[in-house]
Amino acid sequence: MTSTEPHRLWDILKRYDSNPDALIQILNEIQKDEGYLPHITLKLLSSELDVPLSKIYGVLTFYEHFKLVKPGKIIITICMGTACFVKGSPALNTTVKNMLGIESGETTSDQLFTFERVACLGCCALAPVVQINGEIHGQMTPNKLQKLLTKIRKEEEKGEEK
Amino acid sequence: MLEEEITITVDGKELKCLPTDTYYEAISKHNIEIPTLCHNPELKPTGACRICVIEIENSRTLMPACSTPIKANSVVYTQSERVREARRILVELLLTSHPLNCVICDKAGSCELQKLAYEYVPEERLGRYIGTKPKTDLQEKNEFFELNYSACIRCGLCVRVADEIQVCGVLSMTHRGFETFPSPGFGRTFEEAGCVACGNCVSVCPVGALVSNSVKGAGRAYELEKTTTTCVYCGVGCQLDLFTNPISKKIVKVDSTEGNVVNGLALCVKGRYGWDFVNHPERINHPLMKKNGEFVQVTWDEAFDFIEQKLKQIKEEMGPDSLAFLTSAKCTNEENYLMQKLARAAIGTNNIDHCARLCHASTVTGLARAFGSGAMTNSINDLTKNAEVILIIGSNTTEAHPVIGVKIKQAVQEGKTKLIVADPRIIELADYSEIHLQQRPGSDVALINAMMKVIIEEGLFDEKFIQERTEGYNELKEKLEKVSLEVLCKIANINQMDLRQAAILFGKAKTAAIVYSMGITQHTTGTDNVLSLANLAMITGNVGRPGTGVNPLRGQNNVQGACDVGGLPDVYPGYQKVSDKENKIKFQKAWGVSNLSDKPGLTVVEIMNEVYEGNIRGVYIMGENPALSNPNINHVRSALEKLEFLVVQDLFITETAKYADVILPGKSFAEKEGTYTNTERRIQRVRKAIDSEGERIADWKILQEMLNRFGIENRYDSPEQIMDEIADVTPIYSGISFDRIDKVGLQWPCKGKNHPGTKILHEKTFSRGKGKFHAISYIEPAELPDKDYPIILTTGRILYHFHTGEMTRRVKGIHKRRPIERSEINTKDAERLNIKNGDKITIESRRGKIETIAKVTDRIQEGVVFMSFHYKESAANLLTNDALDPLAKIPEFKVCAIKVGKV
Repeated sequence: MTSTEPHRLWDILKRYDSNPDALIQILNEIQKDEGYLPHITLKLLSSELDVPLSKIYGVLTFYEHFKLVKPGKIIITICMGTACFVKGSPALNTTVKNMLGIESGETTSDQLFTFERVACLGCCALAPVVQINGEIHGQMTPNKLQKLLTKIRKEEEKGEEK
Repeated sequence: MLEEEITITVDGKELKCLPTDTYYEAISKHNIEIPTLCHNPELKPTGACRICVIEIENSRTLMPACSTPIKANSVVYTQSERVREARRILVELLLTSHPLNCVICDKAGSCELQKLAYEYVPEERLGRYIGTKPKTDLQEKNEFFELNYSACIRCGLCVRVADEIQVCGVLSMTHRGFETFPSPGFGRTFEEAGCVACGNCVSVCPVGALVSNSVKGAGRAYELEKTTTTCVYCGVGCQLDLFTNPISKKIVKVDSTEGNVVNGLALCVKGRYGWDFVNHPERINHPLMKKNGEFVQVTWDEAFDFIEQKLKQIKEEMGPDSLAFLTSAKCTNEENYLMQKLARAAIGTNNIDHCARLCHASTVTGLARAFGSGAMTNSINDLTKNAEVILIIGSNTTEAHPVIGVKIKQAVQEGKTKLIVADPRIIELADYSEIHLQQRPGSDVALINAMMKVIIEEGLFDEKFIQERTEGYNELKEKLEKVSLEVLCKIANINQMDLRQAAILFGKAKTAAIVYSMGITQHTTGTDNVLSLANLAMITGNVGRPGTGVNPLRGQNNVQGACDVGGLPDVYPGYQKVSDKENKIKFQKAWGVSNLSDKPGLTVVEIMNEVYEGNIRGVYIMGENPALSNPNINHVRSALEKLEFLVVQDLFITETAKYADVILPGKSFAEKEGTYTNTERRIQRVRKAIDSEGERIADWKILQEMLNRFGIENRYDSPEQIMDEIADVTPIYSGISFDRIDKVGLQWPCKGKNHPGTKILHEKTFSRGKGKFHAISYIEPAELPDKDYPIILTTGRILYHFHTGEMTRRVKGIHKRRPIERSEINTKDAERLNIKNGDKITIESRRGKIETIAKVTDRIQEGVVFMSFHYKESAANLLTNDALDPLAKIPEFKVCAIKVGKV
């Protein structure tokens, strides 16, 4: 938890007048700020809104969108839409799994990669598509993906050394 | 006139219904069954399971009966083929993700899904759909129950009970689709999420997902016998069903009695799970006599002979007042009646008292003076349904009276009721309150006087009520004029603004009720505290109407009854003064004796003092444990050591029984018949559910034998006959008979066989005619902190245990969850003393020293330590002060001076 975080939570709560009915919007804002929903923030939120923690958990686990675990630095999103699927996204899926040792929805232990699958990224002409931190990489193959991920990892390691 | 009824046609029959009903309610009332998996009459309908669908003519789709309001003249089918097919498919779909392990499931026989499958699904359609079995399995296994996801049908009942009945917020439906499950979330256990193990969610689970540990392998539902009875723990008097296995002769589970008026669906952990003591191996099975310092087993005859001989000898040598009797707030009305009859008619002494002296003696004295009757003025449901404001003062309701606690939480949650909590600790209800006044222990009179001062200043008093129904107002007003608000608030250590706000909230409410308990009564100024609360209620006209009143919550299951039937030294049954000549004549005639004493007897603490002085030589104790429950127990124990002759009648060899010459094995609540009277004056049945082991005899039979040996020749075949005798001599019980209270208990005063009982006292006039104001000045507690003993000790109860723990500490699950005392100390005090959470500490007062474990918390104020008195290893009453309230003779358990040290 960063030191500024409670202040940001108060700001958010102020904007929504600490209204428990705005729980989903508030969760959304927290996630926008933090990239996920830190447990300690949710605990604070629970006491501020007077909503039991179990109810917050109930809401946030209903939506795929909300994340309880801090995502990695690099988010790999593989499109599993119809076009990408027929063009070979299952193989890309296997590539990521084999390379990083994580399933969809998980993050590598070094906090570098998070792997997600989505239904459609809306650029079917480029199928199969992989999105890396928001950037679209079209006509992907397992080979290209492997190279791309290796390159990213090397760059990251270099960056750390500096 | 009743609401106008409307007519609907159900399966060809015309039914008259209330227009506010849903189809489910209306049709169920006419005993036509509509199946459901997610509905419970005490919960708001959600229409989740769709099993209750019915066909309504001119309605396009099938409608869920539970959540559809009825329409006049509608035509409904509950069993048409369309309805049955819909239900059939739903059940088939549920079965696709439900394990079909009924042969070994503990719920088999009482499983709603099994029942529906049996009725609706033909064999050839079983397994027609293929579904996903959920991946998640066992989620929770704790001391009391387990939650097994694989059996869950996601009806949501457990979540709704947690939300609407228990108001605990422990559970939520989490995740989505096949992976939807009730859970506390974040990988927490139930307890970590705040679960208090009431088991109310377990009791509503229609399938085998939430199952109590006790039912595992203990017998099929249809093998069990059900006995409806009254809970043996606190004064709420919850109605519960004991399910027993006639073969093993053991209790298998406990559920609340369907549709009962006291507790409804709710029970607490003690009521639902606290019955291991009944079949505990440490129960006494035979009479015991101390010979050469050891207890040896004797026959009943030998024990009776010895007791008879000793009591007669002592009486002859030193007179009847050299004997004393402690009756029991745990025993039935019938037993208490016989016990006082034994003392009064057989021996001729009024030295009879019981632990009411230690809890609500000041209530009885105070309210009798102010109103003329010392009992809870209103009823539990009336209070929680009709009060706009409830002032909770000196009552940790959610722990000491858990079911009243949840009802208050429900009222707050529904937005009907606002709470003012006055308590030195931040109790759970403080979290639900508008205002929490955290007064200094022992400053209640100042606090209440301050509230009244503001109420008078703001003109919020009820002039009409004061004029018409009370006396002594001017003296009170003058007294209040003489003190300043500032001084009063300073004494109570309360912010003036908070106090003003509280007083105005209370004064402005149309209906404001006062709920209090031992935080008010257990002081040397206990009577003053109670009188002050009576003042506050009268000044605002809050007496005699629904949602108002002065409501002491009685501690023990039958402490109200034990008082009612004469277990007090100054009154015969029905609070008829022993000093009154006419009463003496009346009871001499009724009991066929001529030796009744008109001298009021001694109280609990006084009896022990006289024992110590040698003036009382023989004591007969039934179901009481003064060696742990009295204040300053070092003194009590040295008195008991000196005592010439002690009889103890109990379930276990208690701390007190260790000093006995004779121990008689009585029966527990599950093994005998009788009645208890709960805190709202409701007399309710206690019924035998299991045969007892060994040579135990029901306490009323033991007492009858003793009476006979003293020439009182009554022969009672059953407690029912004893109750008939009680009704004859006790005006407030005169309408009570076992027949009349068979289903629903009656509330006294019930004067006559057709009297419906009394929900609210003092409706038109007070029992004493006019309500009397008492001008009360603040007096300090008997012992205040000083240089040597700088901290205040206050004592009380915790949810899981009861009193001296003889019962609850023998309950496996409860013991596992709360095995040791953890005494609360404020963070700042702890820091100063270099004490960390969980550290072993010593607490010492002028009377004794104990070791305990520190629970460092901000929920207690600085300069105060809180201890429960349940644990004999850390006996709080070694420390407490036996200074007494001069009128009620109640000791000051709530304030004494201590010092705390680190071990």
